[in-house]
Amino acid sequence: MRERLEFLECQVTTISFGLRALRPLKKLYEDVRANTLERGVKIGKKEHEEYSGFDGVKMRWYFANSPKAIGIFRAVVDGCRLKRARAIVGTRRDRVRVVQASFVEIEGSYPRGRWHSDFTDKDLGLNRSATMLTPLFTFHRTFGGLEVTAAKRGMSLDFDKYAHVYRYRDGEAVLFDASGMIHRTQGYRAKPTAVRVLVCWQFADTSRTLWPALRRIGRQNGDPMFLFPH
Amino acid sequence: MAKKQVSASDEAMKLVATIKKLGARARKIVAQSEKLAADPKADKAVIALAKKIAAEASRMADDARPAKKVAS
Repeated sequence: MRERLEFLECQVTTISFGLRALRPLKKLYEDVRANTLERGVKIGKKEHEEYSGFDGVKMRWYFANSPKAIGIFRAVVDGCRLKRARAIVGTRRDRVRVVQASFVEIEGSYPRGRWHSDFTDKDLGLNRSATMLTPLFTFHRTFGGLEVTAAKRGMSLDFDKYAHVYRYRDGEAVLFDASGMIHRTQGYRAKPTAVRVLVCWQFADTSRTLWPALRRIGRQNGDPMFLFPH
Repeated sequence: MAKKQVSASDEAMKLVATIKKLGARARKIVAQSEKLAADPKADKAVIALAKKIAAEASRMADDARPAKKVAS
Protein backbone atom coordinates (compact mmCIF):
# COMPACT_ATOMS: atom_id res chain seq x y z
CA MET A 1 0.00 0.00 0.00
CA ARG A 2 1.51 3.30 -1.15
CA GLU A 3 0.31 5.25 1.88
CA ARG A 4 1.85 2.86 4.41
CA LEU A 5 5.22 2.90 2.68
CA GLU A 6 5.19 6.71 2.61
CA PHE A 7 4.16 6.89 6.26
CA LEU A 8 6.91 4.52 7.36
CA GLU A 9 9.58 6.27 5.31
CA CYS A 10 8.58 9.94 5.63
CA GLN A 11 6.10 9.94 8.56
CA VAL A 12 3.53 11.58 6.28
CA THR A 13 1.07 10.51 3.59
CA THR A 14 -2.35 11.39 2.20
CA ILE A 15 -5.64 9.53 1.76
CA SER A 16 -8.30 10.54 -0.75
CA PHE A 17 -11.94 9.92 0.14
CA GLY A 18 -15.51 10.76 -0.88
CA LEU A 19 -16.45 14.18 0.46
CA ARG A 20 -19.99 13.10 1.37
CA ALA A 21 -18.51 11.07 4.22
CA LEU A 22 -18.06 14.30 6.19
CA ARG A 23 -21.81 15.08 6.35
CA PRO A 24 -22.31 13.81 9.95
CA LEU A 25 -19.38 15.98 11.05
CA LYS A 26 -20.75 19.06 9.31
CA LYS A 27 -23.99 18.53 11.21
CA LEU A 28 -22.07 18.02 14.45
CA TYR A 29 -20.10 21.23 13.91
CA GLU A 30 -23.33 23.14 13.24
CA ASP A 31 -24.83 21.66 16.43
CA VAL A 32 -21.74 22.75 18.38
CA ARG A 33 -22.00 26.30 17.09
CA ALA A 34 -25.77 26.45 17.66
CA ASN A 35 -25.49 24.75 21.06
CA THR A 36 -28.00 22.11 19.95
CA LEU A 37 -26.01 18.95 20.68
CA GLU A 38 -27.95 15.72 21.10
CA ARG A 39 -28.15 14.13 24.54
CA GLY A 40 -24.91 12.37 25.44
CA VAL A 41 -22.83 14.15 22.79
CA LYS A 42 -20.37 16.24 24.76
CA ILE A 43 -17.90 18.54 23.07
CA GLY A 44 -15.17 20.36 25.02
CA LYS A 45 -13.54 23.61 24.03
CA LYS A 46 -9.96 24.82 24.15
CA GLU A 47 -8.53 28.16 23.13
CA HIS A 48 -5.11 28.94 21.67
CA GLU A 49 -2.33 29.52 24.20
CA GLU A 50 -1.59 33.16 24.95
CA TYR A 51 1.91 33.29 23.51
CA SER A 52 3.66 36.52 22.81
CA GLY A 53 2.83 37.54 19.25
CA PHE A 54 -0.43 35.61 19.27
CA ASP A 55 -2.58 38.35 20.79
CA GLY A 56 -5.96 38.48 19.13
CA VAL A 57 -5.62 35.05 17.53
CA LYS A 58 -9.02 33.36 17.44
CA MET A 59 -8.14 29.68 17.24
CA ARG A 60 -10.01 27.02 19.16
CA TRP A 61 -10.41 23.29 19.37
CA TYR A 62 -13.82 21.65 19.85
CA PHE A 63 -12.93 18.18 21.05
CA ALA A 64 -14.91 14.96 21.59
CA ASN A 65 -15.61 14.75 25.30
CA SER A 66 -17.89 11.71 25.60
CA PRO A 67 -18.05 8.19 24.13
CA LYS A 68 -21.02 9.21 21.98
CA ALA A 69 -19.14 12.21 20.61
CA ILE A 70 -15.99 10.26 19.73
CA GLY A 71 -18.33 7.67 18.19
CA ILE A 72 -19.47 10.20 15.56
CA PHE A 73 -15.88 10.93 14.51
CA ARG A 74 -15.01 7.22 14.52
CA ALA A 75 -18.04 6.28 12.39
CA VAL A 76 -16.99 8.74 9.68
CA VAL A 77 -13.53 7.18 9.48
CA ASP A 78 -14.84 3.62 9.47
CA GLY A 79 -17.53 4.43 6.89
CA CYS A 80 -15.26 5.56 4.08
CA ARG A 81 -11.77 5.26 2.61
CA LEU A 82 -10.30 7.09 5.60
CA LYS A 83 -10.40 3.77 7.44
CA ARG A 84 -7.19 2.96 5.57
CA ALA A 85 -5.44 5.05 8.22
CA ARG A 86 -5.96 2.19 10.67
CA ALA A 87 -3.93 -0.11 8.40
CA ILE A 88 -1.20 2.47 7.82
CA VAL A 89 -0.32 3.22 11.44
CA GLY A 90 1.01 0.59 13.84
CA THR A 91 1.05 -3.11 13.28
CA ARG A 92 -2.50 -4.33 14.00
CA ARG A 93 -5.52 -2.64 12.46
CA ASP A 94 -7.87 -3.67 15.31
CA ARG A 95 -5.61 -2.02 17.89
CA VAL A 96 -5.24 1.25 15.99
CA ARG A 97 -8.14 3.41 17.14
CA VAL A 98 -9.32 7.00 17.00
CA VAL A 99 -8.45 8.02 20.56
CA GLN A 100 -9.14 11.74 20.28
CA ALA A 101 -10.90 13.94 17.71
CA SER A 102 -11.72 17.60 17.28
CA PHE A 103 -12.66 20.50 15.04
CA VAL A 104 -9.82 23.00 14.71
CA GLU A 105 -11.29 26.42 14.02
CA ILE A 106 -9.54 29.69 13.19
CA GLU A 107 -11.42 32.97 12.72
CA GLY A 108 -9.54 35.60 10.76
CA SER A 109 -5.76 35.60 10.36
CA TYR A 110 -3.11 33.38 11.93
CA PRO A 111 0.50 34.47 12.55
CA ARG A 112 3.65 32.48 11.96
CA GLY A 113 3.08 29.42 14.18
CA ARG A 114 5.20 27.45 16.62
CA TRP A 115 6.74 24.13 15.63
CA HIS A 116 5.36 21.25 17.66
CA SER A 117 4.40 17.60 17.64
CA ASP A 118 0.96 16.45 18.84
CA PHE A 119 1.78 13.34 20.91
CA THR A 120 5.08 13.61 22.76
CA ASP A 121 6.11 11.03 25.34
CA LYS A 122 9.34 9.20 26.04
CA ASP A 123 7.59 5.83 25.68
CA LEU A 124 5.80 6.57 22.41
CA GLY A 125 7.97 5.80 19.40
CA LEU A 126 7.46 6.25 15.69
CA ASN A 127 4.58 4.55 13.90
CA ARG A 128 2.50 4.24 17.07
CA SER A 129 0.26 7.28 16.63
CA ALA A 130 -0.93 9.65 13.93
CA THR A 131 -2.80 12.86 13.31
CA MET A 132 -5.20 13.04 10.35
CA LEU A 133 -6.48 16.41 9.10
CA THR A 134 -8.88 17.44 6.36
CA PRO A 135 -10.95 20.58 5.67
CA LEU A 136 -14.53 20.42 6.95
CA PHE A 137 -15.52 23.12 4.45
CA THR A 138 -13.79 24.22 1.26
CA PHE A 139 -10.82 26.41 2.11
CA HIS A 140 -10.58 30.00 0.95
CA ARG A 141 -7.51 30.42 -1.24
CA THR A 142 -5.87 32.71 1.33
CA PHE A 143 -6.08 30.15 4.15
CA GLY A 144 -2.82 28.69 5.39
CA GLY A 145 -1.84 25.10 4.80
CA LEU A 146 0.06 22.60 6.92
CA GLU A 147 3.75 23.29 7.31
CA VAL A 148 5.79 20.15 7.99
CA THR A 149 9.51 19.82 8.44
CA ALA A 150 11.79 16.95 7.57
CA ALA A 151 14.06 17.93 10.47
CA LYS A 152 13.34 15.76 13.50
CA ARG A 153 13.25 16.53 17.21
CA GLY A 154 16.83 16.18 18.43
CA MET A 155 18.41 17.00 15.07
CA SER A 156 20.73 19.99 15.24
CA LEU A 157 18.98 21.75 12.39
CA ASP A 158 16.77 24.75 11.78
CA PHE A 159 13.28 23.36 11.21
CA ASP A 160 12.43 26.20 8.81
CA LYS A 161 15.16 25.22 6.36
CA TYR A 162 13.69 21.74 5.91
CA ALA A 163 10.04 22.76 5.76
CA HIS A 164 7.39 22.26 3.11
CA VAL A 165 3.82 23.58 2.93
CA TYR A 166 1.02 21.18 2.10
CA ARG A 167 -2.13 22.87 0.76
CA TYR A 168 -5.30 21.25 2.07
CA ARG A 169 -7.90 20.19 -0.47
CA ASP A 170 -11.41 18.79 -0.36
CA GLY A 171 -11.63 15.01 -0.36
CA GLU A 172 -8.05 14.51 0.76
CA ALA A 173 -6.77 13.95 4.29
CA VAL A 174 -3.17 14.34 5.34
CA LEU A 175 -1.92 11.73 7.81
CA PHE A 176 1.32 12.20 9.73
CA ASP A 177 3.10 10.64 12.68
CA ALA A 178 1.76 12.42 15.79
CA SER A 179 5.01 11.88 17.62
CA GLY A 180 7.64 12.10 14.89
CA MET A 181 6.42 14.82 12.58
CA ILE A 182 7.16 18.37 13.71
CA HIS A 183 4.62 20.71 12.13
CA ARG A 184 2.66 23.96 12.47
CA THR A 185 -0.18 25.91 10.89
CA GLN A 186 1.11 28.07 8.04
CA GLY A 187 0.62 31.75 8.86
CA TYR A 188 -1.89 33.62 6.71
CA ARG A 189 -4.00 36.75 6.48
CA ALA A 190 -7.77 36.56 6.05
CA LYS A 191 -10.85 38.68 6.70
CA PRO A 192 -11.83 38.74 10.40
CA THR A 193 -15.05 36.90 9.54
CA ALA A 194 -13.35 34.14 7.53
CA VAL A 195 -13.57 30.78 9.34
CA ARG A 196 -11.14 27.97 8.59
CA VAL A 197 -12.22 24.59 10.00
CA LEU A 198 -10.27 21.35 9.96
CA VAL A 199 -11.39 17.96 11.21
CA CYS A 200 -8.71 16.31 13.30
CA TRP A 201 -8.58 12.62 14.21
CA GLN A 202 -5.84 11.31 16.50
CA PHE A 203 -5.01 7.63 16.02
CA ALA A 204 -2.96 5.51 18.36
CA ASP A 205 -1.87 1.93 18.76
CA THR A 206 -3.88 0.99 21.86
CA SER A 207 -1.78 -2.01 22.88
CA ARG A 208 -1.84 -2.31 26.69
CA THR A 209 1.84 -1.45 26.99
CA LEU A 210 1.14 1.99 25.52
CA TRP A 211 -1.79 2.91 27.79
CA PRO A 212 0.34 4.74 30.40
CA ALA A 213 2.01 6.86 27.69
CA LEU A 214 -1.31 7.62 26.00
CA ARG A 215 -2.92 8.61 29.30
CA ARG A 216 -0.01 10.94 30.07
CA ILE A 217 -0.49 12.54 26.65
CA GLY A 218 -4.22 12.91 27.30
CA ARG A 219 -3.52 14.72 30.57
CA GLN A 220 -0.96 16.92 28.84
CA ASN A 221 -3.12 18.03 25.92
CA GLY A 222 -6.31 18.28 27.97
CA ASP A 223 -8.57 16.04 25.85
CA PRO A 224 -9.92 12.72 27.14
CA MET A 225 -8.25 9.65 25.64
CA PHE A 226 -10.75 7.07 24.32
CA LEU A 227 -9.09 3.67 24.19
CA PHE A 228 -12.15 1.39 23.87
CA PRO A 229 -12.54 -0.54 20.59
CA HIS A 230 -14.38 0.37 17.39
CA MET B 1 -15.17 -5.48 -12.56
CA ALA B 2 -11.96 -3.49 -12.53
CA LYS B 3 -11.01 -2.01 -9.16
CA LYS B 4 -11.32 1.79 -9.12
CA GLN B 5 -7.90 3.39 -8.94
CA VAL B 6 -7.50 6.32 -6.60
CA SER B 7 -4.38 8.33 -7.26
CA ALA B 8 -2.72 10.91 -5.05
CA SER B 9 -3.13 14.56 -5.99
CA ASP B 10 -0.20 16.59 -7.34
CA GLU B 11 -0.09 18.35 -3.97
CA ALA B 12 0.14 15.02 -2.12
CA MET B 13 2.88 13.68 -4.39
CA LYS B 14 4.83 16.92 -4.00
CA LEU B 15 4.49 16.72 -0.21
CA VAL B 16 5.93 13.23 0.05
CA ALA B 17 8.64 13.73 -2.56
CA THR B 18 9.82 16.98 -0.94
CA ILE B 19 9.85 15.59 2.60
CA LYS B 20 11.75 12.54 1.36
CA LYS B 21 14.35 14.75 -0.33
CA LEU B 22 14.65 17.19 2.59
CA GLY B 23 14.87 14.31 5.07
CA ALA B 24 17.78 12.76 3.19
CA ARG B 25 19.54 16.14 3.11
CA ALA B 26 18.94 16.69 6.85
CA ARG B 27 20.34 13.28 7.81
CA LYS B 28 23.40 13.86 5.63
CA ILE B 29 24.15 17.24 7.22
CA VAL B 30 23.68 15.87 10.75
CA ALA B 31 26.04 12.99 9.98
CA GLN B 32 28.66 15.37 8.52
CA SER B 33 28.35 17.68 11.53
CA GLU B 34 28.77 14.81 14.00
CA LYS B 35 31.76 13.45 12.07
CA LEU B 36 33.40 16.85 12.05
CA ALA B 37 32.79 17.44 15.77
CA ALA B 38 34.47 14.14 16.54
CA ASP B 39 37.46 14.67 14.22
CA PRO B 40 40.60 15.47 16.25
CA LYS B 41 42.34 16.77 13.12
CA ALA B 42 39.70 19.35 12.32
CA ASP B 43 40.32 23.02 13.01
CA LYS B 44 39.33 24.01 16.59
CA ALA B 45 37.01 26.76 15.41
CA VAL B 46 35.20 24.34 13.09
CA ILE B 47 34.83 21.79 15.89
CA ALA B 48 33.47 24.44 18.24
CA LEU B 49 30.96 25.53 15.62
CA ALA B 50 29.84 21.95 15.00
CA LYS B 51 29.40 21.41 18.76
CA LYS B 52 27.48 24.66 19.10
CA ILE B 53 25.11 23.65 16.33
CA ALA B 54 24.65 20.21 17.91
CA ALA B 55 23.85 21.80 21.30
CA GLU B 56 20.93 23.69 19.77
CA ALA B 57 19.10 20.48 18.98
CA SER B 58 15.32 20.45 19.44
CA ARG B 59 15.21 23.84 21.14
CA MET B 60 12.36 25.08 18.98
CA ALA B 61 9.69 22.37 19.01
CA ASP B 62 6.89 22.35 21.58
CA ASP B 63 5.67 19.10 23.10
CA ALA B 64 2.02 19.57 22.24
CA ARG B 65 -0.33 21.64 20.12
CA PRO B 66 -0.60 25.22 21.40
CA ALA B 67 -3.94 24.91 23.17
CA LYS B 68 -5.26 25.38 26.68
CA LYS B 69 -8.46 23.92 28.08
CA VAL B 70 -11.10 26.52 28.87
CA ALA B 71 -14.37 24.63 29.07
CA SER B 72 -15.80 21.16 28.67
